Amino acid sequence: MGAPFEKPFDLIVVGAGHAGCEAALCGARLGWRVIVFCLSTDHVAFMPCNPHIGGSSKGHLVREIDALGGEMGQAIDHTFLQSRMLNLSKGPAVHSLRAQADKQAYSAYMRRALEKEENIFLKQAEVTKILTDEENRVTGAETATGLRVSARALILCAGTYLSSRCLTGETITASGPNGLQMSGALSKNLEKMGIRLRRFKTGTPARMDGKSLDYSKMQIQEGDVPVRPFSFDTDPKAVQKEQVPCYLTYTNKITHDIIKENIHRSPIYAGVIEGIGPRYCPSIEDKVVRFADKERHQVFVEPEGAHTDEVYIDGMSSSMPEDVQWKMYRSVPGLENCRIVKAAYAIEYDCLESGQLTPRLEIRGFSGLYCAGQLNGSSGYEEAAAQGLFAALQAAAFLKGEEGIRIDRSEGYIGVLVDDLVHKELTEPYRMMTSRAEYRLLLRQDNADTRLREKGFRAGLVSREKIERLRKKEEVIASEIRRMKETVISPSGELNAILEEAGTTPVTGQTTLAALLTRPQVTLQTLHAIDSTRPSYASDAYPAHVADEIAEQIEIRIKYEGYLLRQERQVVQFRKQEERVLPKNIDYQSIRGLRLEAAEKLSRLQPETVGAASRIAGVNPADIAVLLVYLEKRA
Amino acid sequence: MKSGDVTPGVHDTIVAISTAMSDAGIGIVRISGPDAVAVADRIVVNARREHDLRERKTATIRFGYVVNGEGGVLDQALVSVFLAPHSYTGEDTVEINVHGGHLVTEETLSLLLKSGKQKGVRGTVRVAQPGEFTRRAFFNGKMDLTQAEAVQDLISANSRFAMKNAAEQLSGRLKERLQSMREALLHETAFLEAALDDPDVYGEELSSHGEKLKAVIGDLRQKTKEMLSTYEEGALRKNGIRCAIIGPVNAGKSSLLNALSGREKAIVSALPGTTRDIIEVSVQMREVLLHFSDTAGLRKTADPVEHEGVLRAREEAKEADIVLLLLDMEKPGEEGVKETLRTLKEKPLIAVLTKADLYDEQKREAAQRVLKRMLEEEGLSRTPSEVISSVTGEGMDELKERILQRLRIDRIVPREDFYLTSARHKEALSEAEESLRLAEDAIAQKTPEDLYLSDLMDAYRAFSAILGEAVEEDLIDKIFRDFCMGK
Repeated sequence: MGAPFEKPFDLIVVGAGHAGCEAALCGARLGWRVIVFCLSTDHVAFMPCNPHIGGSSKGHLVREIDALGGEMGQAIDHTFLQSRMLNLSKGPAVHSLRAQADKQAYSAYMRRALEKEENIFLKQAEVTKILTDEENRVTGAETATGLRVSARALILCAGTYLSSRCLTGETITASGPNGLQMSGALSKNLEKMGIRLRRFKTGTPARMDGKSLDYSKMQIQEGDVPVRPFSFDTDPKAVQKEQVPCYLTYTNKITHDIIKENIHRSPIYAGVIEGIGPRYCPSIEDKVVRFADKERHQVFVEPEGAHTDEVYIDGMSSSMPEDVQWKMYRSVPGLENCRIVKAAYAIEYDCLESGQLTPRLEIRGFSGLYCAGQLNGSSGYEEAAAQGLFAALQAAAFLKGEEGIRIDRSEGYIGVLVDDLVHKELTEPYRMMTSRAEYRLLLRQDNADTRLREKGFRAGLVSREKIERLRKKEEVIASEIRRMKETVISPSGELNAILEEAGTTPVTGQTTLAALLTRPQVTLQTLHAIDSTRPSYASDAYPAHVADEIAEQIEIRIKYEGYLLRQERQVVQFRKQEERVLPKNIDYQSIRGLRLEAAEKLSRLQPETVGAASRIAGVNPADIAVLLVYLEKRA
Repeated sequence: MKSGDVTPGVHDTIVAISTAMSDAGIGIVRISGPDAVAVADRIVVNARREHDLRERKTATIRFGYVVNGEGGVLDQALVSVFLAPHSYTGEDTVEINVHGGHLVTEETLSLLLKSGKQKGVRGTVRVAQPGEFTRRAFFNGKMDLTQAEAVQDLISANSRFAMKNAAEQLSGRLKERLQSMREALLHETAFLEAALDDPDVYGEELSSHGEKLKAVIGDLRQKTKEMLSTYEEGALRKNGIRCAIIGPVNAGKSSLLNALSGREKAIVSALPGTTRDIIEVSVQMREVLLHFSDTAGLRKTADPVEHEGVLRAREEAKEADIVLLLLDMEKPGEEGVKETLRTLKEKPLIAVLTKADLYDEQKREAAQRVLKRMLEEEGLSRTPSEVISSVTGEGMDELKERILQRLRIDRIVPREDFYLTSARHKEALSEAEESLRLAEDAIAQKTPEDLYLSDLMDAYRAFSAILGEAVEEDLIDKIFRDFCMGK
């Protein structure tokens, strides 16, 4: 059946999870007509696992998405139940925002966001076939019910729904997460197209009826006051509200004994599961076996939403049979009388084998075919959303006949994420971590706007008004840093009293405001009394709260200048390698001196720069030296 | 093993004569690479004259013959087969032991190359580049970079010390030490990363971790410094000590050199200014090589050739590890000596009174007094002095001993001692030490962990560079392996 639409679509998005939503919104906001297919329109931006957005490094991703003009930051700012800035006592590079989401509200918000876009048509249907012409160019897609839609670009955001099956002990169901329909046909179609797939697995803990828990036996965990929003465009005033607490309890020896006695019934230990699970998010069985000397593990009880009693039992994901689960969970203090609403399960799914993606998240060998999210081997809502946005920026540029934006490893976590997914041989679902970012001190959540908003503006996703606001903010920061470096302060009784009050040593000679600020105990606030010439950071060009962001930037950039400069110098070295482009037509097998393994990896992954080549596992520094010599001779 | 070298085809099969080119009892021709067995099989037969190399098991040695294409026998041979990965290079390797001598080994080599050009051989068969077998061993993970370097050191060792130290390095001494330091560093780094990544789980533990971390970093820095402190002595011991023999004309410099070498290396004459070029002799003293260089006598001269010789002598003194200033016992304070002393103030120096055989005790004491006063006047009163005779050999061993003493390398190296001898290792360790220092300072100032973690990773990278390993996924792997991440 041909498509009965008045105007043809430009872009097809398959899946309306976190990747699909960002992809669709980005495509539509850049002026393209987008059709979004999903298996259930009632589960748009569904959160089938943990009920929070953000966290270490993931919070960075959300702020980067926001800086580029994506939706996730706004969505969580509107629907959070509790919010905390993690690692506040550490350096600014690892401060990370994490918010508990009201899952239903989050999903509803995102569905509304899609529906508000005139260019988006949200359609419930299972895509079973990707249509391409004889030159492997995308021409459209076909659904299980025979509907055919044409478009020049398609972004696959199939999540964990490809040929998935869920396992709870011996019980195996062929379904997607949370009992939702899976798609087997699309998997087969992809393989038929020559795309190689593999199995990954992940898991989720039980959901319980909150009324059945005894919170008096647990530690309460409250949110921050005041709350800091995710989005650079959210007024902090709008997010100060009554928050819902989480609770902390622990497993114990009895829990661990129950697990050990029944370990043979875990599908993983029984060898039923073929997929590879993530080490960073181990099931409780894994924790008990792998970290046998640990006497207890933390269990966080987190709300699933404001309109339900259901709670999420974080830290105890499992694929044990349900009868074992009841015993196991009930051994935990506070959960003795728990009623399990949804049993824990492991899920296995198809995703792309490594090495098939270009740095534009396009499948190599095809034109117009992009992939984002868990299909690419990642895990996590934020990783998915970041890819969805990035892939859509590339697809939109492709539709226009232009080059898409680039984000390298020194510019954003999104850059690190994409680069890793493209060049690494993944052996487990990939999760973002701050330690994956070489230039972590530069890639802070507080400066995501500085790093990426201009790119969003150039791509057309960030409005002129917003970019002007940022530029003004930067101007004030720069001139204020200059002033503080130039303002000479002579020692005085007043100054030394202030310094001693702050817990630092008095000064004896002349110094500058900036030099004083580099002392760990000194803040801008400390200096206020002796800094009579300080200008106001307020301006008509931006909302009032931006003044606080400015003060934060000044403090960070002056306090950590030494560290930041060192990383900036490393970035200069890094960029040199990134700028050395590798010609497309290199026959690596013919380069004398290149080891077999390196030649094989390079021909398969086709890195676009020397820098990218050097990051491929199995390509060592000597191979890069050979490659450089080859390039010089060739030139 | 310079990284900038163009390494020739690594999937080629390589051939080389592995023993010295001399009329030795045996000579070994080695072939390594994917086609090694097939190529060698065509030119060797077993005792029953069958080509059976392909059926041989790994690490076997059999008697046989090297044959040419026409079935003629070139030589008897012992043929060893080592199959990948159980060989030195990690590839299939065949070693053909023939009788020594240029012709037999060269002919065997050329038969192998010829055989490699025949049909049925997939890849290229060619002569190996210097060090290529070892390079392959490194690339194939049979050894780390420090061990590969040790092979080179072992081959070129010219003193017992250099040999022993290289052998230690080859056995993995340096590798193991670095690996254990690196592992300790990585463990701390991974813990910090895990704690920063998952503050809900590790936050508490992290807040009480500072003291332990300080101790670990301090210990690592101390170990790094200790290793670095062996370099100067290690390099001297490995490369030998350059001893410049300088002094006025006719002070007996060439005689000393000849006496040291045990033969007439330098022309000795009573005619002042005989020596013009620099002549060298190397002598082993307690496992250390002493490289003596005889130089032109220092004097003002109109002869342009001799003048050039004097310039070279001063240059040699500047470059040397130690200077022996030779003075004729007859006239230790002769003209020009004081000026020379002034140019040598920064150098380890030994004053040597020569021609002891010509003078009695009284004369010797007088000369020593003059010398002592002169040294005192120049602020060099701590300069040791020796009395020698190149004719009787008196004082020669004492002089050599004194050189070792002066450079503080006179002790006998205990077996368990290991010295850093490579400038590359020293550079990288210095970088590691500097990064550890920055981290230590940062911890002392209560700087947040995420900031000095970059210093710790820099130190880790420096250690890895010595081993020739890439860092890549080490940290992430370690985080996942050792720490239980939860939320």
